[in-house]
Amino acid sequence: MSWGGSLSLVGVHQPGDSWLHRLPAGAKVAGLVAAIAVLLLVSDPAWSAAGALAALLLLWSTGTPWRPLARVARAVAVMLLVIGVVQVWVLGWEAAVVGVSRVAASLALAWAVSLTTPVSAMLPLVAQLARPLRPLGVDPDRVSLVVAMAIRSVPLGVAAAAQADQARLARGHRRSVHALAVPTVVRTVRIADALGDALLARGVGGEPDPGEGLTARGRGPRGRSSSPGDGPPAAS
Amino acid sequence: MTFTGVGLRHGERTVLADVDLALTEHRIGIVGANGSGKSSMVRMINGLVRPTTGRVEVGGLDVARHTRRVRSAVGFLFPDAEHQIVMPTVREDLAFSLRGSGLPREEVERRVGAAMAEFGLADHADHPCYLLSGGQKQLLALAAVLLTEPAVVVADEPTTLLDLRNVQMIAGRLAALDQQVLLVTHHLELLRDMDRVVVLDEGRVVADDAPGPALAHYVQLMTGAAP
Repeated sequence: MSWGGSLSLVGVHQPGDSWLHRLPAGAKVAGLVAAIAVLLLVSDPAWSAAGALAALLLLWSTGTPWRPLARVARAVAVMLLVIGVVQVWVLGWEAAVVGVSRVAASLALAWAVSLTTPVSAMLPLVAQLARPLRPLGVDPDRVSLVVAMAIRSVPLGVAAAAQADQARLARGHRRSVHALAVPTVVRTVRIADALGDALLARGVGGEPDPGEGLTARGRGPRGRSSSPGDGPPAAS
Repeated sequence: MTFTGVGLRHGERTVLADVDLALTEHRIGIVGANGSGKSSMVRMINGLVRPTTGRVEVGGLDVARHTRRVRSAVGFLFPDAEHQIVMPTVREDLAFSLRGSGLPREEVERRVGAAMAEFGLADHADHPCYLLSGGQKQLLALAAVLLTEPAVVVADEPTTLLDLRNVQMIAGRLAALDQQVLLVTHHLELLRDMDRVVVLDEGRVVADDAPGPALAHYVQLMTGAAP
């Protein structure tokens, strides 16, 4: 298995100047949800296939270079082929066309949104969507940070698994699931621990100081404190 | 930064014992064998590790009581920059340092742009961080730390995973800082220009001197030979 190739699944933002790049993140996500809802309502094979084709054209219109996406696209194509064959066998060809078209269109649209939207543009939207949960004690900023951390953690987790896989092969345990799973889990936990320390060191989380508000906020540059003695301590 | 009667125990194991230090110099080096307590000691400076006994103060503030204020003044570099980078791309990770700063968006973008230009990361602004080289990741981590304008920079073995060229590059950046710098490293050549070097062994300060005598003590400790 190529571990590096699977990173493309993360759908990391690709800078560009297409019309989709210029659209606000909120509009894109709303459009994505609406489009998938419509796709689920359509049961005519011709219209479903047309929807999938339109989604692929939309993905193409982002101007994203094809080469980095090709490996994942091939994997998705194989997956769709398997789904299609099973559905033809079980439900008939019309249901198979509708099913495969829905999955293909949804993936293409989601990919188009994530490729044209930086995470930093998504986070305010996530925080906004989480805002109604504030009365329940949920911190919307914290929710958006969790989403960002989840995205960031994917390549770290993949790297941990790749290292464990290479160590397994080097020690001649090619078929041992145990030799892959245990070091991967241990490494992942250690990475999570290190990320936690990094977040604390960068001013996110931790217990509030005496007299400080309870809301955990990030820190800013020195000298922004509004009252004397409220700023950080000077260097020794 | 002051350590007063600082000790740290993990169960039966003594990690640090009776550490009394007043670190006032501009550039201070910490060196010691693996497991000598270096990382635990410097992590006490921003409250990532709490002492079992004694007290650590930064700028007159007790770290245990004023952890968040102290953290806002202490920038911290970890050995593996990979784990210090929080956001998916270079630009986003730098902007993360100014999260909650109250600065207008344009000012955040200006400062992030200036940091990228200064650290040679402008060409990688929108690249995924995991694609950067080890040296670039450590540069990004340092740039992210400096964006918060800390009074103190603590660097815990920041060159451990780097090749010689990147070691020299990071060392040069740290040497040029106006901030007080506390550098933990096994690269002895990086410590020769320090104002002061502290040597730890088995959790105790065994030498605290100018680089020459302190490093001589350390080399003798490690090899049993005169430097």
